[in-house]
Amino acid sequence: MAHLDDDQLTLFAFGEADPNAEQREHLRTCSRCEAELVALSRLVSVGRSLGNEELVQPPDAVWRGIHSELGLSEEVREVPRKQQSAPEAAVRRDVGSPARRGAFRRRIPRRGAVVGIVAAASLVVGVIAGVVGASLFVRPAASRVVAEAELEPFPNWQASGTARVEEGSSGAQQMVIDLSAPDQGLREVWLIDPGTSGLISLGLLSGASGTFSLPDDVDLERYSVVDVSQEPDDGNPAHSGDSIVRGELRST
Amino acid sequence: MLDGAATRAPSPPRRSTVTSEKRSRIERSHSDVTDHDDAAIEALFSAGDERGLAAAYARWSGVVHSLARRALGVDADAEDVTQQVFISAWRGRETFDPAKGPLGAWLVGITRRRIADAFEARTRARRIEENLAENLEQEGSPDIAEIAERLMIVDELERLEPVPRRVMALAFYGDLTHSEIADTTGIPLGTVKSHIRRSLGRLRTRLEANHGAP
Repeated sequence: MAHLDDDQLTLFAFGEADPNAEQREHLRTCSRCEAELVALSRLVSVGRSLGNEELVQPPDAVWRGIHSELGLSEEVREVPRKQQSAPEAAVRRDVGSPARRGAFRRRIPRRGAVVGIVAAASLVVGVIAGVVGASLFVRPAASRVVAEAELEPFPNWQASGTARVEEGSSGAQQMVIDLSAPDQGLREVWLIDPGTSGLISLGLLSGASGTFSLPDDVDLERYSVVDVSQEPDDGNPAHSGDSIVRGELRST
Repeated sequence: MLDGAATRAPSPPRRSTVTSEKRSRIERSHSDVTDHDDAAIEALFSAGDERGLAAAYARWSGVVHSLARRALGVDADAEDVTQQVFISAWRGRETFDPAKGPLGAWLVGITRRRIADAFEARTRARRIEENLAENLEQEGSPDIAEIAERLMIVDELERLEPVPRRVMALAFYGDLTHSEIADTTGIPLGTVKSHIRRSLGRLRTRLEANHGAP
């Protein structure tokens, strides 16, 4: 028979399916397929047993030592940093708890709980919040931009955007989002705390731009990253994991 | 705002617009990961471009340092090893052959050798101190290969795009079946399966053993 394909081997490795008699016979006689299955099974077994592995970055002095020992140029003097990736870092611990499905939901930071829950309560509320936000907050003439971000696309997306934090004369702040992306589906605007991967939902983005009011107690020093996600219409209030664009707010 | 390094937003698209459009059309469902980043780092590194060393450090110093810490248990020793790994990798860069395996695995190979050296140095120091060799066997070395494998998996999982990463987290840490993952995430079962197959295949290639590290 033909070699087993990756789909089949993956299913066997995860114990999702068992080889039938013919496949068993093939595995018994084909060292290539057998080796592949052994390797994949080992990965699954190691992957499932991962628990306390933490990646620890070396202190800056290590790079400085390398830089000086090798006599590297000025261009690479700055300590090279790992790029911060999407906020799924928190997922690992969350899924470990017994209430698996519920536990997968990302923690909504306490500070942003009200915003989060309101936006999460239902899609309808989210839409209303967005629309109300957009229509009621006619920009006062006195508003000034206090921070802004260029929103860069994730690899899967042909998109771009900007985020602006405007402060009115009363001190009230609002976030103005402009997004250019293929027009389809629901988009949600989030603030991310890059330190903890905590998320605050600001609401759904209707069309290409939207304005969202920022409650006083949202700390933009902490929630410094703006993210716009594509959301399935499934009533799940958590971030879908499918980010379209993201960018870091910088004071202006 | 916070320290820019830790909070950096995704960098601007690394490909030309034309290429990314093409990629997006043709292989959107396959762009789970950013393999081209690793390839670019390997190319710069091999070419002797210092930015390649800096990028390799940004990309793999966490794995190297974590492995050294786990193995040696003493931060100062781990820092020495991490520093030595990148210094000897750079000096021995001509011996890196991308055809034999990925740069990450090569660096981990060097790390394992430096850890072994550090153990040997400790053993020598103790032998001189005690003038005895009787305790040597007891210390033994932790299973460095296994720790290395686990750290590499953690690192590779962290580099998956958000959706496959979420799927793999549920499959591994959450121990969910493929259909449970589909139910939990609302992602169609077929898509869940293909994410898992591709991610597992990627782990398999990134962890491939490598020979000939300096």
